[in-house]
Amino acid sequence: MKNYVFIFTVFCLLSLQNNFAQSKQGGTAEDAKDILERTVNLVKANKTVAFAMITAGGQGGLSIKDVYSSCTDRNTGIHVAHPYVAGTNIKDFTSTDGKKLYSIMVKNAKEGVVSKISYKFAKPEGGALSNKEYSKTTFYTLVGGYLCGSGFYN
Amino acid sequence: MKTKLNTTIFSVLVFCLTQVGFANHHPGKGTEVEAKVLLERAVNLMKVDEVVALTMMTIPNGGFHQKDLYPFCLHDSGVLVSHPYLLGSSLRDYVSDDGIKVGDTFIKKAKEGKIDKITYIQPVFMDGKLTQEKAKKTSLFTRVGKYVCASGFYQ
Repeated sequence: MKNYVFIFTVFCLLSLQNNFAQSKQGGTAEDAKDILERTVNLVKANKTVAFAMITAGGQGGLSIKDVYSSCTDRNTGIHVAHPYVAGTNIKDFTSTDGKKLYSIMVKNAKEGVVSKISYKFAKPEGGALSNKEYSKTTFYTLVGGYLCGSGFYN
Repeated sequence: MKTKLNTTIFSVLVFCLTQVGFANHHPGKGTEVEAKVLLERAVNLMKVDEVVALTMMTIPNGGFHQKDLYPFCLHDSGVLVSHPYLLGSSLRDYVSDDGIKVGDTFIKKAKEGKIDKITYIQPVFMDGKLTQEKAKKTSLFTRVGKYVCASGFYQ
């Protein structure tokens, strides 16, 4: 009888471990590209809905694990859509590894072309950006005057 | 001692079954009548406020997600502007497993004030993801300005 208890317990622990591992696993480069493509489509079709759904936590499948999209007004540098820091002006933001993200993206972003940039950035944990930083690679492009991007953690 | 052991086994079993139950929870099948009601509500709301309507169809509030039913709208470009799982995806070139040009049919056939139907095979959504399971789905659809709105049920 004790063996059954042991087997059931091991089964449960393995199931929980698997669930925990899946929840801890981050999104991939493919996830980020997919989300960026869909974000661009949606901004072109209805930017108000796009910005609302991105900011509301990537609703409608616009976030996968720790991958989400954001859009920034090209002229003002304000995040017009972001699930964690909407409204922030990133014109003067420099990552801890010295990347001036806004300047780099404004310089390189072109309509119909996806560029990428790698930098250190906080990871979302428990519904907010944590204090711990990780290497992140973001794919970005220009769509109707907005810099839209989606990145994954390396 | 034996009773205590049985209680332990029972507790472990219940716990395991609960976990499995939650993981594979299926909300149940909606009907054609229910799908039509959802489409009518979606159209009503689209006419009052397009952004609110598209938003509410996407997020899990507002009572638009019932059982396995949900209404959705696509722009004339084919892009899904409201959808609980595939927001922003383009249906323009989407061909179902049984060869139906679903997006193309929606865009070409949808007329204001008239509800049309299309039946096709598509993967079933569960827990926010497309599964390997495929089923026949009938979608009721109509036009609302530059959008086509639809609501389908699995057979």
